Amino acid sequence: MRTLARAGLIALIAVLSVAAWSAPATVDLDNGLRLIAVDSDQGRIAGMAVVIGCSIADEPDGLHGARALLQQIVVMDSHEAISEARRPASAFVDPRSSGLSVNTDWDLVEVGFAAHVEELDAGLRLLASHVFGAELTQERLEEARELVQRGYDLSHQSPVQGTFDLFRHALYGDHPMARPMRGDPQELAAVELQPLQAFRDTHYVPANAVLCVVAPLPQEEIVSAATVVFGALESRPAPEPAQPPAPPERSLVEVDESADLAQASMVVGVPAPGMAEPLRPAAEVIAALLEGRGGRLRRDLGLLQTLGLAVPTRLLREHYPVGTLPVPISRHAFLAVHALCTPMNIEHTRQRLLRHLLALQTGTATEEELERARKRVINAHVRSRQTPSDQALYLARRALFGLGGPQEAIADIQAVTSEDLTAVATRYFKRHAIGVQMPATVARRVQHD
Amino acid sequence: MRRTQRLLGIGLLLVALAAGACAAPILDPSRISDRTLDNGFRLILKDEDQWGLAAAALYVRAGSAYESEDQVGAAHLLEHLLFEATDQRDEQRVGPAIEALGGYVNASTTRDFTRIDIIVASQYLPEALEMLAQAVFEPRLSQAAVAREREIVARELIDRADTAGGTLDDLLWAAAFEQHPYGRPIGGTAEQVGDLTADDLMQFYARFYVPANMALVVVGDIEPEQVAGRVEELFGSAPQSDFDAPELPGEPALQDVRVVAETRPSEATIVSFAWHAPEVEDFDEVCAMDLIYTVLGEGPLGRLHAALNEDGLALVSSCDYLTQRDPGLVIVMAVCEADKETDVRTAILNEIRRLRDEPLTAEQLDEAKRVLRIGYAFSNEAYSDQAGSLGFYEALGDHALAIEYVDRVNAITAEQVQQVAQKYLDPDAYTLAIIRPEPRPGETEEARVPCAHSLVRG
Repeated sequence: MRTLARAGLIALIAVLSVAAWSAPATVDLDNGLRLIAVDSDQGRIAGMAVVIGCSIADEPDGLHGARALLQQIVVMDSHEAISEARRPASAFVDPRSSGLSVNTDWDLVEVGFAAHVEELDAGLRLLASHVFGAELTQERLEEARELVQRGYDLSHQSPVQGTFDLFRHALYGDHPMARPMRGDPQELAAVELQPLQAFRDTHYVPANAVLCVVAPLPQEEIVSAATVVFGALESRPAPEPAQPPAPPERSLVEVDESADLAQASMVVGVPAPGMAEPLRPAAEVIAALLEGRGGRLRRDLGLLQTLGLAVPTRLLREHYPVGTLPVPISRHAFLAVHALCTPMNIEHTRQRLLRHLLALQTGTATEEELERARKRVINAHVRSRQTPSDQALYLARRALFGLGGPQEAIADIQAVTSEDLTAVATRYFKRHAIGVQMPATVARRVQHD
Repeated sequence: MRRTQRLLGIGLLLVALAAGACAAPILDPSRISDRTLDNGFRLILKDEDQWGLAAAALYVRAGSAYESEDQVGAAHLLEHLLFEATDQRDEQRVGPAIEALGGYVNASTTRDFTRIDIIVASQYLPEALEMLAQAVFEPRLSQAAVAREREIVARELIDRADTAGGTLDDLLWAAAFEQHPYGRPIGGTAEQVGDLTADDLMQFYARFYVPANMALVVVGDIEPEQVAGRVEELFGSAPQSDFDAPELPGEPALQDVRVVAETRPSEATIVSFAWHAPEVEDFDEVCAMDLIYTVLGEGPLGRLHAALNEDGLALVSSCDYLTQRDPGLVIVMAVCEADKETDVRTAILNEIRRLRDEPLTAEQLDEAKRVLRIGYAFSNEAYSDQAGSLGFYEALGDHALAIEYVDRVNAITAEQVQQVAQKYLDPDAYTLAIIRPEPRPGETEEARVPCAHSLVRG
């Protein structure tokens, strides 16, 4: 009955949206590339994105961090190409851009770009040639390696990152999502040019990617322009998806110490539905139920006291010591909370955070809470697609996971019920994982005692 | 129009595109409507039909230039108080409330206006507008709230004064405007803000936060009539009150060179030249000046880059010009090593003379227009950008200028560009602000910059 009601609501929202949204044109090119074209009236800018189904699980030993290195190479090469193109009498693309925008995530690599519609063809050529085309050189690899390693060091200056690594290791064990997404310095140092080139030639192929173009042009014209550029790319078979080992079945805790910490840093989390799973929208709603002003974590003044921190009230506005981590855009996801607390309060904090995460196994959300959480998730989705290139990324990313467009996304979130939240909690939250970093002096003292 | 295009063959469309792409409007006027409510409140709507997103921007012509001498800092402090929660219990103010529902909200104050921006899913626009109306029509200006926010703002101002950029900016504007209030720093100083009382703020609020001095722009996936109805309920019910924008004192033209300099602990010298620039009312001159700053400063294409950066004379150079209600400033800035200051200043003035003496070639003019047109398209990429453009020009005079902008730029001739350069960019009359590194032990100021004093006239 409830399923029928939800189906009805989704259908109603979809029908209401039809008048406002002409469905994108979806075309599969001969080389296997899926092309989505959207006619946008927003302005004169064309947004374009390629999302490649290359996962961290696809990186074999000796190539951990390969996707991050390729990301850096694409950014540097495209930056140079644009700098040259900016010279007078050359093709002029995006006056603000420093190169293609590339993001490496757990299960995908996404590349976005924006061009004035007058320069759509130039933009498409830039995208195609740098994502699928260029030869790699040793010199470029070394430059990229240095920058990615530096990025690793910078990100690990944050107490959250180190604790997050421990948490993922506890949650995923031997599964690739336990590894640093962009490789660690030792792994990056081991990557060699020829295997990297072979990795790219295998995984960065049209048949393993989705291209989306959002432009103020008729869809037929977008399809035509994109087909001319991307249809000419060599056809290669899509790689077999890697079969990673299953995550562990027990709850685990990983503890380490850090000389940079004055307080204890803790990430507590549970498995959650992945992108393609039906309960995924409910998992996003649960995260929103916990987070932000008015969320359960902030309303729990006892939690704030449990942390044992002396934080002036005015600083809490900007630096609240408890926060929800984003639910990852991946096939294996998690729901996790980070907190800073005094070392002596670590056990009470752990219990209190876990209680919040597991509460939905037995309790329910009020309609008011649920409505607030749904609003947060809907606003997050809508705000993530403000510019044409954001819109192209959003659609291509969803298509890669076999999901529908923006209307379906909103309808799915709108249809989440309290029972869905309970279903997520009972089905997925059967075990938990904890990562803890203690200030080095305290950790040593505890060991000594 | 778009439907007709879809019926044409692709080949024909490509031809049509080649001819028509340049002419297609960035802000399509057929989608824009405006109205004035009975109480004088202005509403501008641009409706789209995709993406389920709406951006709203409220503009109040209550910038820092409208503060009296004893209200300096009031515009910015008031913006903070209207926008943010003043204590933990006050979570219904527009800032925290929109943030709680996952939307985006921000507020800012300029010399000419104060604005509040909101971005939400279209379906939540009605409640976001309600929060916005509450923020501007139900201020909470208790002594305690003012005292709390005063501290936060004073800290912001002290932090800003600690930066070279903030100091340079304040020096330059203060030197360039001796009469006009554009010369005052936008937020005032920490001391001035410390003196402001709830009564001062209430006086400023009562004078400027009236419907006839406000404009709301909404761009996005909206039903215009529904939004207009909601705005009428929320903003149209505020009582009408007489409002005449105050006349601000004019600034006499500069007759000579004014130099202001400070030393700071830094490795590099920063020089910043400023000339008075066209006001919004002279919009063709504004467009011509936009072409000038494009020719001078638009990244690697600009003449400044060629003259200063390519030979290693300067580390960084830029040209900036913000259209304002009254004549503002066009600013040319460069960062260089201390011993290159004289050469950099000479090179900048040479480029100014070149603009006055040589008209742009047809090719240079076309390229500058093309850069400006593409830049304008990118600066109107998102709905929030478009709300910003329409609101910006409405606050300065008329939102239609945002729509006409590209056509007006395209109509400018090389002669007009040269005339504007000759009218405004006098190489013998300008303001120059300099931040220099502290002298090394044993080094005198004069030894480091031999021509610094000779430039100060009058």
